[in-house]
Amino acid sequence: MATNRSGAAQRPNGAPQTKVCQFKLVLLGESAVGKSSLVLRFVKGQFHEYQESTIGAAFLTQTVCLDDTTVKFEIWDTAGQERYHSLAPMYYRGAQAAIVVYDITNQDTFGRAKNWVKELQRQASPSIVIALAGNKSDLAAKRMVEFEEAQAYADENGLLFMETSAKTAMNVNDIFLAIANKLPKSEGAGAAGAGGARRLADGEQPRPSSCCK
Amino acid sequence: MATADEEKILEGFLCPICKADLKSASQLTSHFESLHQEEQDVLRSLKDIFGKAKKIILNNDDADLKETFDRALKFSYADYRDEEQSEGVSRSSSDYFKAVRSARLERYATETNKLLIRLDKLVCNMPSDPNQRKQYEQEIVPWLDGSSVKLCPNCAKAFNLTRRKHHCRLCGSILCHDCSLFLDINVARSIVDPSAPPTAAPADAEVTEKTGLRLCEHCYNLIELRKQVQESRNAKTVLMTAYEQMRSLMDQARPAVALYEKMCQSLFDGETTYNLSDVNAMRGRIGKLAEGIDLLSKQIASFPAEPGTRQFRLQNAIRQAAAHYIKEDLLSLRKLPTEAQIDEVRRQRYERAERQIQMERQKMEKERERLEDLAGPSGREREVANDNDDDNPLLEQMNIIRQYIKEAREEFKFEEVAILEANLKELKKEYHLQKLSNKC
Ligand SMILES: Nc1nc2c(ncn2[C@@H]2O[C@H](COP(=O)(O)OP(=O)(O)OP(=O)(O)O)[C@@H](O)[C@H]2O)c(=O)[nH]1
Ligand SMILES: [Mg+2]
Ligand SMILES: [Zn+2]
Ligand SMILES: [Zn+2]
Ligand SMILES: [Zn+2]
Repeated sequence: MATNRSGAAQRPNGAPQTKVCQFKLVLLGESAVGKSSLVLRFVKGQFHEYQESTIGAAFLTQTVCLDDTTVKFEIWDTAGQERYHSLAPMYYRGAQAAIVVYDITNQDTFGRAKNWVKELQRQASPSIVIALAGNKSDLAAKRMVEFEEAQAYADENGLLFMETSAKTAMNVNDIFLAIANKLPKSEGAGAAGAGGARRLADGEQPRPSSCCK
Repeated sequence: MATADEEKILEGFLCPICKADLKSASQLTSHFESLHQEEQDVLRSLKDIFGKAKKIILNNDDADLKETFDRALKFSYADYRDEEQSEGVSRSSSDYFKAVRSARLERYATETNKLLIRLDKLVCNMPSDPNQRKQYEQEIVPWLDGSSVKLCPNCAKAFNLTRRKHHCRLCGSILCHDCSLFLDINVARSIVDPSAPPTAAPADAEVTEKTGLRLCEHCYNLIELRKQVQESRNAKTVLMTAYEQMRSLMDQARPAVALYEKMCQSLFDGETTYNLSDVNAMRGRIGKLAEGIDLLSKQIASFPAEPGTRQFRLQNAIRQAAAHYIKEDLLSLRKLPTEAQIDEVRRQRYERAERQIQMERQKMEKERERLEDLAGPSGREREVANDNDDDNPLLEQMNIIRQYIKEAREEFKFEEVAILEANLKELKKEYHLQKLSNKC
């Protein structure tokens, strides 16, 4: 698992060809769909059956390595409860990527996810990479949102789409990796403002991640 | 959490730029808008300014300039000399006050929310074994490490052999036994799940370590406040109960009246679906409902209330509406036909039916003769009269239905009676046809 944080996974020092890019990623979606759980799985490899509802927003970071690039995600996990809705624009402003999460056992959360996509398309940076995550895929017996329906919707809107499970870890790393792959990493891309990755200055050292083997 | 030296997860009302925790949504919003919005907008507004300047220089837009000058020159004190001065500028501080207050309220709501979530987890699967329970409690709310705490943070008395350290189960803070308050676990359950029937704990039974949760004063007060809000929201006054009862009677009366009208019409039409006694019974039931509504609405109106207050007006309005409803909808029921009228209508109907059957029979007879003429005498052979039809399934079925009708009638299920009667009629017709065709 890529998030296994054992000490053995140190990156060999001074791999000169590696670029380091930093991206701001925001998670959106109805309360209790499992946003915090997805992040916790991705960052710490953990899952809590009783995950406390997020208050305000949570901030975490995680680094992943692609072939020649190290991507550092600055993750903003927003609170899904309706009363925090008005805070969301602050967090998705200037974000290069967003994961909109719904719960496959709850049709309403899918509708809510579509609204989030609409809001992002209107208000967020035009070059933002949006991924749709149908979470809790381990509860397929209670499924209320069909895979095909969500896939069709994602295709229509040019979104990345995967069904995930924070509980079993299925597709969790994959969806973050897919986003990392889709983000522009060339130096020219988004030199100013939103849209491009921020290249770390020479002195800045990103935390080495365990995924670099 | 287990991972100790990992980067801590920040959570709260975090500023997306400087990551400060602003403690409430409104404080965060105003912090962000006043401190960072500008930073981000500087570039854009600079561009705007340059754009405008450029436009003015290029267009040489002196029409605009002239107007501005004119307006500036026009302004003179002369225009204002004779006017009476009105009140000067005033500034309301309510918005400021509201902002401060709502931030406090919001913070308090957030805190209560957090405690409730923890409380829910605590009482959800709490093990009964004391040791397991202790472990379980600490899994949900980690206890503060008290090794360096020498005094009770609440009463400042020193901890020693007799004054031991304890922990609040909701926030994990340290306190002494004297400063602990206990929340009955059953009460806690009803707080987190208001739909569950409130388990009335005997008021005098003291809540102990075993039957309750040890809480600090702060947490206890927040939970207690929440409980009071819940109770006041759920409390039903005698008035409300009476009103609900009255509404329920009205809800029963409405379909009863509709059914009565239907039954009545059926009698007038000479149908045999219902008896006169059925319809009379229905009428009696509606009368009973009217009586009940009348009584309850009078009760509501006679509740003590200051004349002129809203409550007083409301109570009287309810009574008037109820009286009106009884008069217009329940007591204005159509009169029933007399026994003689019914007989007359039924007789006419019967005669009409008889004539119809007669006609049909004749038609069939003719048809048969025509066929006989065609086929010769051999056609008669079919007339092996099977008059012994006691075990005819149709008859059997009809008897079963008759029994059902009787039962339904006894239980005032007149809707059912109507359906069954219709069913029986169908069967009778079927039987009739069968007989006729057997004869030919
Ligand atoms: N079975 C299953 N349960 C999950 C999964 N992901 C999350 N959960 C559970 O769903 C509940 C809510 O998860 P959270 O991660 O707190 O949801 P959230 O979207 O962060 O909610 P807010 O913070 O209120 O916006 C928790 O009890 C999790 O244990 C999953 O993939 N499978
Ligand atoms: Mg959350
Ligand atoms: Zn800030
Ligand atoms: Zn004390
Ligand atoms: Zn406490």
